[in-house]
Amino acid sequence: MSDEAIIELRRVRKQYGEGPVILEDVSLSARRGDFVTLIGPSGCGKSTILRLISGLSPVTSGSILVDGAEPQGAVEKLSFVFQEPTLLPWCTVERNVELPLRLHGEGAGARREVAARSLALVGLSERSGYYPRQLSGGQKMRVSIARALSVSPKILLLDEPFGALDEMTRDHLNEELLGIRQQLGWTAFFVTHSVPEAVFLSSRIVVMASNPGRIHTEIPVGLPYPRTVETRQSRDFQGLVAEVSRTLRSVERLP
Amino acid sequence: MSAPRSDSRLSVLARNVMPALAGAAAVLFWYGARLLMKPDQLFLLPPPQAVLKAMVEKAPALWAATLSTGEGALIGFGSAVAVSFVFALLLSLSPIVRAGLYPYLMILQMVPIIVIAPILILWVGAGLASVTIITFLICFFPMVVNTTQGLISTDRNLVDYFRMCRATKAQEIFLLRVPAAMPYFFTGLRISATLATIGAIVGDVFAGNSAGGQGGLGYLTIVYSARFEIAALYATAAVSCVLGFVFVYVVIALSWLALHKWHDSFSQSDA
Amino acid sequence: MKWTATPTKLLPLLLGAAALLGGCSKAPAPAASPSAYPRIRFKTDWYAQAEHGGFYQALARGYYRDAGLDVSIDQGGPGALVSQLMLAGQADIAMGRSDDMILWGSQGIPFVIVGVYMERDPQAILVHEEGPVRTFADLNGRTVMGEQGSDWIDFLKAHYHIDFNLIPMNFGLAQFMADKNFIQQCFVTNEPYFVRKNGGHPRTLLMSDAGFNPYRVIYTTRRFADRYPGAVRAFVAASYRGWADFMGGDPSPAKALIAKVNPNMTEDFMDYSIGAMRDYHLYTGKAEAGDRPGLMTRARLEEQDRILLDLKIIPELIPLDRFARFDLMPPGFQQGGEQ
Repeated sequence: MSDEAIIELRRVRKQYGEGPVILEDVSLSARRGDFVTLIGPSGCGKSTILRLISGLSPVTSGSILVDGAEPQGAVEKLSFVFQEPTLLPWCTVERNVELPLRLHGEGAGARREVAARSLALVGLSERSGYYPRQLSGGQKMRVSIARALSVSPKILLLDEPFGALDEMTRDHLNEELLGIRQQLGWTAFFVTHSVPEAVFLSSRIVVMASNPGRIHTEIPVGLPYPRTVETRQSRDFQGLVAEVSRTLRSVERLP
Repeated sequence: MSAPRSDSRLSVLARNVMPALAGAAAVLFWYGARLLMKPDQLFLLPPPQAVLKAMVEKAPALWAATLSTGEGALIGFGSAVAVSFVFALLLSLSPIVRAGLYPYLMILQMVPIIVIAPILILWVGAGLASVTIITFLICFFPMVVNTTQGLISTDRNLVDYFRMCRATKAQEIFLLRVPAAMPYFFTGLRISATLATIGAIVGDVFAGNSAGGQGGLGYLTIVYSARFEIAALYATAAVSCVLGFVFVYVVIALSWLALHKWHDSFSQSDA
Repeated sequence: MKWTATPTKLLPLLLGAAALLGGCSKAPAPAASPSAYPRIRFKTDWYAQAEHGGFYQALARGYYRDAGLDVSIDQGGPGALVSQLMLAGQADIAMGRSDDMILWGSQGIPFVIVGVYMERDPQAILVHEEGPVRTFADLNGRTVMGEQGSDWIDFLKAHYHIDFNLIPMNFGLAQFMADKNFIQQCFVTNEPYFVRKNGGHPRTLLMSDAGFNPYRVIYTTRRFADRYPGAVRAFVAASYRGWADFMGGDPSPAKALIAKVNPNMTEDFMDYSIGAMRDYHLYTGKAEAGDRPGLMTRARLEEQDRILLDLKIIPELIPLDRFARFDLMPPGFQQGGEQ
């Protein structure tokens, strides 16, 4: 993997009008293939960073470069997975996965092929004709991920995607996510409240503080990929979880 | 995800037997009410068999009137659906436009038919045109309000997702807002379907034209009441209800077709 | 404007059926007054107007009191279902038209005529002097604003072998004033006044002249007549006295009373109506045809019966005694005989 940054935030500041400052002087970079997790207390701006990177919101000052370009121009390279699956209820699973391709003007044949591949990746090929209301929470999330992958993104932004699911499903989906990453090789920005999840998935954890939102500590995660169920049992894993938890608690105690 | 077996058996029973029971009870109540009435007043509530007899005797007139009223109702309703949809699309585009136009829509909705009818007769003459316009006016407003509400109530997350994919405004409207508004649209459609036949009949009463047998159910109502043919009056009312029911039923069927696969308002059939 | 006495207002009747069930068991018997007769509630067919003049004259001059009656005159109006009220026992005696009585009789509705207060009815067709219509036959192929289902309209078509189109009646004059070719139904005692007042030149074709010639009648329920024949007789006689005085003497007591209970009424309009009643011989009828104020003849009732049968509006001839009682009228007013 090359050393140059695929995402670079420089001295980013975000404020809504005269309101509170959401982010203050945030500088952060990610190299190609990194899996960066943002973790921190409520209000630290971690979801906002994702929105800024995706171009949904503009920065107040500072700059963001996505693969050398402004976020606005980086549409094809980014995919976003929200906290809610945000599927179109009137479309089948297959149509939902095809949606971003449809919006970009791809033809029906190409769309169908890509959707089939994406669904296979998340293991939902047999359910391609189902409607969202017939799926479980975990299945809907998988569809959302398949949809995000259908545009072959270079960068995947995920905002607490597994937060509403139970522990076991969440662990399964974590493992699946890493499996897909191994095949496709995208860079990830991930937001979560769960420390074990952060440690399991990431190559780097960024702990943020709030009031105002800023970066407090960066903790590299040296565990080797591919990571499996056994990884969770290892001593290194437990140690990292403890360290990150400690850091988090110290951040929460800050004024 | 599937409905339990015992529930579906119950619902089949409920759906078929209960209405029949209710209908039988209503007929019993009808006879019973006649027993309670003073002899002088009996003529006001003819027995069911007299109404049926009148229905058979007047069948040709009732049929012709139903076709006439049905025609006015259909054209008025259909055009209201089309125009209201376009209006709703325009209204959904801008809160400023909505704020500006909503008060006038509300006011227009309040104008009573009795006042409009003579004006319409002056402009377009009594007959199908006036009846259609009156039906249109009655059906238009519920549809505009409901459809607009649907178009502006789209899930914020979905709108964000579309924006993130840099979807065009047209894509946002036709691939997201319009499908999401369908449940609201069909609600408005069902309300208007109920009003369509009422509107056509009222329109017929105030602005209808009896030339060449064009008279509708409203016209028959006036004639029968002028002649004190009470049983025929009830028969006309019954036929009017049936016509209204047909309209509503068609809309319910359309609504089922459009929504049953994915909308929560329809119970699930399969896991 | 005048609401014709034909009960198109039976329209809300269907809704009223349920309401009626609530009212039917508590219909009050007329309260007994100190005299032997019950209190009588007389219901008119519209707001107080000169066409009700004789009754108001009787009230104002005390003729009812002299006869031992305690009478109140209740105004009707749009949507007032007089026949409904009568059957519910909330009015005792009312005014109507003899052809309606025949229609009621054919449906088994128990009303009876007990007296006649006008020999001819004011119903007419209204056209502009400048318009194309001069006679009833000229209506052929035209459009008329009139009440759908009216028997006299069917009569006109059959009698003159014509056909014309009916559009719904709204009892206003806006369209008439706007269009010199417009044709609508009217009362000769009413609409022409307003047309002239607004600068128009009205011409009227009286329904009675066409040969459809009902009486304007006083009627009650058969039950009331059977129970209180003395009271009804007294009421009819006093009303006849009132009418004779109103049309033959000084009508000011009635006019004052009408103006009092109907604030919208003007003296000018009332004078016009009274004049029209005279000019068209509504009260006296046509002397050459044998009419006389207050007279009711079997021959005329039978003629109307036959007309309605020919028009297929009634299925068979209705026996007169089903809808008319001659014995409650003052002596000499039943088909001939001196006063």
